[in-house]
Amino acid sequence: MFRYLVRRFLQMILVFVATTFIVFALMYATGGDPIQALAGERPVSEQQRAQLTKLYGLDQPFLVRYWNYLTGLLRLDFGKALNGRDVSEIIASALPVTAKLALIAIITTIVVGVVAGIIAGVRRGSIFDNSTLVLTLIVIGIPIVTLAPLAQYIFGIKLGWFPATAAGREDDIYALLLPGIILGALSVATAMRLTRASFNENLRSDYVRTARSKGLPGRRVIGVHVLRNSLIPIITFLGIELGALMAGAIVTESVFNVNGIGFNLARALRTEDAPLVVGLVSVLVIIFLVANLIVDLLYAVLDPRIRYE
Amino acid sequence: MTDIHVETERVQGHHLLEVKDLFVEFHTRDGVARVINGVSYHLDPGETLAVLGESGSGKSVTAQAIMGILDMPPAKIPKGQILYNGEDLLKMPEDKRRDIRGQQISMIFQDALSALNPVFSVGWQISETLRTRMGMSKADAMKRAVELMDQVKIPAAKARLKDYPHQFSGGMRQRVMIAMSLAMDPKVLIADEPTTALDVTVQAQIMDLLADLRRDLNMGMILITHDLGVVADVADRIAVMYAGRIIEHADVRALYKQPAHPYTKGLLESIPRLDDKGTVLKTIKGLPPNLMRLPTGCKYHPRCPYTQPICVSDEPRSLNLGNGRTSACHFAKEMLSGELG
Amino acid sequence: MSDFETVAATEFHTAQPGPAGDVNAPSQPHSMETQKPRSAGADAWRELRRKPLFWIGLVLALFALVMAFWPSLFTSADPQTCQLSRRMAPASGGAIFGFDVQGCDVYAKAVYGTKNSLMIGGLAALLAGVVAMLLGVTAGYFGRWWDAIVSRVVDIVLGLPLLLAGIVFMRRVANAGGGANARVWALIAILGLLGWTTAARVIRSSVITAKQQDYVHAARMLGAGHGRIMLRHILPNALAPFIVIITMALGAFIAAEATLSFLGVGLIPPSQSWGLSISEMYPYMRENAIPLAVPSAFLALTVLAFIILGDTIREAFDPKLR
Repeated sequence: MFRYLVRRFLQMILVFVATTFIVFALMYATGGDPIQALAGERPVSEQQRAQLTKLYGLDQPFLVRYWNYLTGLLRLDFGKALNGRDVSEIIASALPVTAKLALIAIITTIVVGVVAGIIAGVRRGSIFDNSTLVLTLIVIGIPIVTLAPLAQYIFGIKLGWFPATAAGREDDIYALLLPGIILGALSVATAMRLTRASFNENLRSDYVRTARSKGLPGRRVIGVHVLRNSLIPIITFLGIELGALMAGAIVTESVFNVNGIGFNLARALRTEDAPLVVGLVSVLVIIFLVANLIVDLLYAVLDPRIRYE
Repeated sequence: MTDIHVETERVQGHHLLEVKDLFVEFHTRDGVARVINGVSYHLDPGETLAVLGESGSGKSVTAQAIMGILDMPPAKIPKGQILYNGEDLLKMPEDKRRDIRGQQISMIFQDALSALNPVFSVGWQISETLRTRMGMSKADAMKRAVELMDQVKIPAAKARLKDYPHQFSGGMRQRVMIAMSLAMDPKVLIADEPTTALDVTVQAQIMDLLADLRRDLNMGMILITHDLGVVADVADRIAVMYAGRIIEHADVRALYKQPAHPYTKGLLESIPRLDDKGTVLKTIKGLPPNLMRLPTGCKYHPRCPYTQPICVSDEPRSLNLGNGRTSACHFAKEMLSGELG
Repeated sequence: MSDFETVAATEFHTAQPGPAGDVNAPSQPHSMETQKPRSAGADAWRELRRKPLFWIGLVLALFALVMAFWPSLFTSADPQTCQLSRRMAPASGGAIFGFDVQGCDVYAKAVYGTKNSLMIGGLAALLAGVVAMLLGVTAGYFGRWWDAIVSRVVDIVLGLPLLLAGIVFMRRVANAGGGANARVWALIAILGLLGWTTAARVIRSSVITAKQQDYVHAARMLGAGHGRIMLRHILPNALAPFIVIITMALGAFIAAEATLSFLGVGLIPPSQSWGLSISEMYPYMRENAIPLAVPSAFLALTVLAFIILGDTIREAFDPKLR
């Protein structure tokens, strides 16, 4: 187990270094004028140029700058945005909002997706099963750029059930509910299909036959024996999904004006604030990688057959 | 299709377990497979009945019908009775039937690795029914689980209580399975190919264990197997199945001495023997029949070396040959007297 | 953005070849003379034919394809001629959905947007498919250090969520001053080069499974070369999951293009694209939702078509689901 941990950790560092290098190199190692790249298409005055050069250490060689950036990340120093604010400060205020949104999304996924998946898996071939299958297919098939404005229009503007935007109300769970549910919609569909497939497969396994031959009631066979086995892929999925949701919140947060990581990222893209983009992408990549690592370890806890060497 | 039931039946009282003229079909998209076509057999306390047959002969399906663990649909039982102490299991409400499952009749399966739940410890699985059905405390149930593991001769039982199925060897895993099936002191134990997945040496140990347990606990045991070699030492009686019917039923010694059905004879001849060095081993030609489209007449006629016109046209009734012996062959008497073959 | 991959990959895990019978079903020996041997492909086709969902997906996809190649069949209007005097004007004549905020024909714009969406999705899927095939097959077949390298590269690419990577790469392209056309090709390259990982993993594992089969050992012992073994014995096994993942990837890439365009790092005018239209019309949603709804519907139906196709094909190839 220890050896596995070490190996897995080294592997994560490799992926982390490689991904941040790609991000960093793409942002700064432009063939042309690095200052212009930083500022995007806006005109840059001489004074700004000198200031930016100093601020971002552009007088130093590329690898040195990358090294500084990397060590900065380890100290949770994500650099400075073009407006002079610390990126880490922006992250600190935006991350909890995105985390709340992701949490609402995951809870929706569990409550709706996993439960519906269990019902569909147990009653395979029923009307419930077939209709949810088609429904989830539609949800998976509709891109978030369509789904989010659609939901905002119908539930926020036309029906008025939810606030149409969450701007300035990030502490109000009610305002985050609709964007959270929309963010989770994709995961709900995937979780439902995954749960269904997992239940289906486990229901057919030999140990279910054994459990039935022990005279256990059906609800115990399903609720204990099948559930415990089916949970392994589901929890794995939810863990990875939590990381992916953070990254996937860009569109949802932009549409609903939720002042989280994704919203800031979209704004940074619009204002061409390169250091902010790099900082936000880095933090999302880190979250994604850590979520994956935790899931891997969780897997070993959930499935006694897995022994990491 | 009426099998005349063997007349060892007691005049008064009931058999421990009795299957009467049972039919099972599987309704699939490609058609109806008639898997069991009028099977009857019985079992008394303390005896072992071996049910012998190729895969697809219906031996396991019959056992699953007794246990009530067939998936219906696709399975359907259009006809028949399964009597436990005289009561028809097929007519019982589900919860009453569930009380019998595991407590009165329990079953062990071929592949213990897949038959045990991979994510629960063996102690947990053995004690599960004790906790949930017998109302034992967790500690008592675990104590009993250790006793059961000792009883099936698992070394260092107490230390292995918390281990998972994949941490055991094949033979030990099958012992865990047996311990689990004995947890509620069943009166009938159905062993479905309990040694098929094991090494030959381990096979013998498991068979000995089962024989000992059956004697010590005075259970009735149904031993399902495709291996004639396995049954000779442990079984009292043998029922040979083919295409969902019992084609021969006899006392073990009698059957080995002189089979009364060409199929049984073929099976006996296909066992390699130490004393026939150099002779070519006989096999039964052809394949088992397609259950969707069974042949006319005797189901064995396409493969039988003695086929006569009557075998193609008429299905043979189960002939009573005395001493509890039956055979579903038009020429059973000739077979028995050695005039044929 | 990678949810389709999770669906495709996780559900394929359950569909490994092997004894797939119901535990309770009797083994059904087939007598030789009556049963025609059926290939997996023919079986799958028989299964697919009777699924209405498959036909819906196929018709929608073909419809989109025709619209991409011959947009003039569907509208005589030119999407580029816009008159501010017709700003948000209601439907008239050929403009069945009216006009948008710039006075462009909403319907014509959506029709002409099909080409870019399908081209980007299709070519990116093709590129991803080729990369996945090459790396997946060779990694699975040769193993050793090559497999280790490919697996690490997969890890790294998976470490960057597709959308984030797309943002970073496309921003770089924008800074390099690429025009509208250059961005189309950049998008294809980026999506293709980032989106091959799941397909490669699936191919790799089915190649490893196939490699251990006895018939492959037999072929090798009979002196078949690496190329022949791969082409004749190993690739056919990987084909079904490959087709499914690439079909679904096509849908996902179309959605990714729209998302990147929506965020302002995808296509730029004068390119026509649904994502671009959505991005342009979204701020005016409260005033008039139709110019937003039309490209959204086109986008959703097209993506849906490919997801449905992929999903129904996957089900047809999965014997356990029957």
